[in-house]
Amino acid sequence: MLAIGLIFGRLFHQPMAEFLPFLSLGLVIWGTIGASLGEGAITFVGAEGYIKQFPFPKAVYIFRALVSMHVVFLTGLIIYFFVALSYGKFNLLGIVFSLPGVLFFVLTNFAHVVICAHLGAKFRDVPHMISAAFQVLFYVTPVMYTVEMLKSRHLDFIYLFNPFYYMIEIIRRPMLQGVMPGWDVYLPALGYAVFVLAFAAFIVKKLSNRIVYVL
Amino acid sequence: MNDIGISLRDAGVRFEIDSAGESLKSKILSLGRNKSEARYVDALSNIDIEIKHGERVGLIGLNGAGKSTLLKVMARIYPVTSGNAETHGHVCPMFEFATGFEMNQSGWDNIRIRGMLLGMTPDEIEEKLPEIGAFTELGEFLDYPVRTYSAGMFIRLAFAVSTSINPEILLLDEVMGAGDINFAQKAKIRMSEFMRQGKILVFTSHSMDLIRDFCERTIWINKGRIMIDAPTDIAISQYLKNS
Repeated sequence: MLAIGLIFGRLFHQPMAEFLPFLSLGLVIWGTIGASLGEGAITFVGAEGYIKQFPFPKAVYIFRALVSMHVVFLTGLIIYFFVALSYGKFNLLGIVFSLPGVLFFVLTNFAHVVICAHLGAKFRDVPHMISAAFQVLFYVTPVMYTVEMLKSRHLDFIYLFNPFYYMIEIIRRPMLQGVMPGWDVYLPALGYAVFVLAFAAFIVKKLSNRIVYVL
Repeated sequence: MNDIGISLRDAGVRFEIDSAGESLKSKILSLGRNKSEARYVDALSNIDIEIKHGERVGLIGLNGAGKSTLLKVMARIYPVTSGNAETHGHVCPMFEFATGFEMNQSGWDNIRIRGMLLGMTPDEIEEKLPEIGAFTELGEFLDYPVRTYSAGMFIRLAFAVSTSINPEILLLDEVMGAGDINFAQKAKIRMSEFMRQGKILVFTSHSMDLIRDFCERTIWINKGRIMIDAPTDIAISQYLKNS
């Protein structure tokens, strides 16, 4: 993280005190989104030995994956706090302001895991597709570069229609700037959360009973 | 409905075999074409079984007849695709011993995990831990991560944990051949004790002697259908005569 930060900070001519906290927080959030899709897709496949042997509700395996990826998320946040502290950017109020964002974030990840777990069990090529697609998404989501860099080059559309950008912003903006994000960020994030949750409910209804048969 | 019991009414299980295979890619590519006939296998059909408290039931039949599928339906692992299946009571399924381990954790931890999966409380497990560990005869290997274990060692571990609980409904799938000669002997004795504890026992076996030993009622299954559901002697003689 430090190496990436130093190299890209120079490349983009960014002040390190701004860029390093920005980047480290972005990477932590991005990594968790990635886990919710990637690890999500192998949740049922990986638990095959249990699913075929014990009659537990499928939710057990979902939450197992969800908890572990958010433990990693919290660990990452601690690293961010150190980075922020060392640049004097640590903002306690910002953390409080980010809490609603964290809630939506976890809900969205939950839906991701549910959807990917079912699809990944039914279609075994889904995990590979996700990891390939996610690499591309990394380059079109403002994780490494800031929104200002895009704006100045008239590339706004890259983030405006990207749900992952809003998932990141509802946590990153309050934590970095100590302000409550506006509705322009919350609404898309919330809309996306509702959408994936509804889709997850649909998937569960369609596939849940068939999971043990497709494993 | 606190009574322990298993009740299947006109239950059926149909496996669908998707000709497009298991990949999303081929699924999408085949969307435009005419849908080929979906193939399916009726693993079980029209199964009517009532099993009440205290019954010991044997399942016999050729390989692929549907014995294991039926057990998994009773264990609530396979949802039925037609009809009705209800199981009341705490189920202890013993189907395969080779899966469901946490490879990077030690033998002891896997005993704890498996114990909890089978419904023991953490306190109960801690209490039984020394006894279970001793029964496996794995000694210091229990401190090693289980990925270093051999197939036989897995079986010892799983067997020791699984038979240390107090089952309500015990469902067994052909598990007698566990481990080397020494262990098999020990396992046999422990298994018989264990099977006598269960309030309901359903098990499959190809050994008619075992079935005669344990079960007063036997069900013969062929091609997913019940051929006969009768007292053991009658069912076994019919089975031997006709297959």
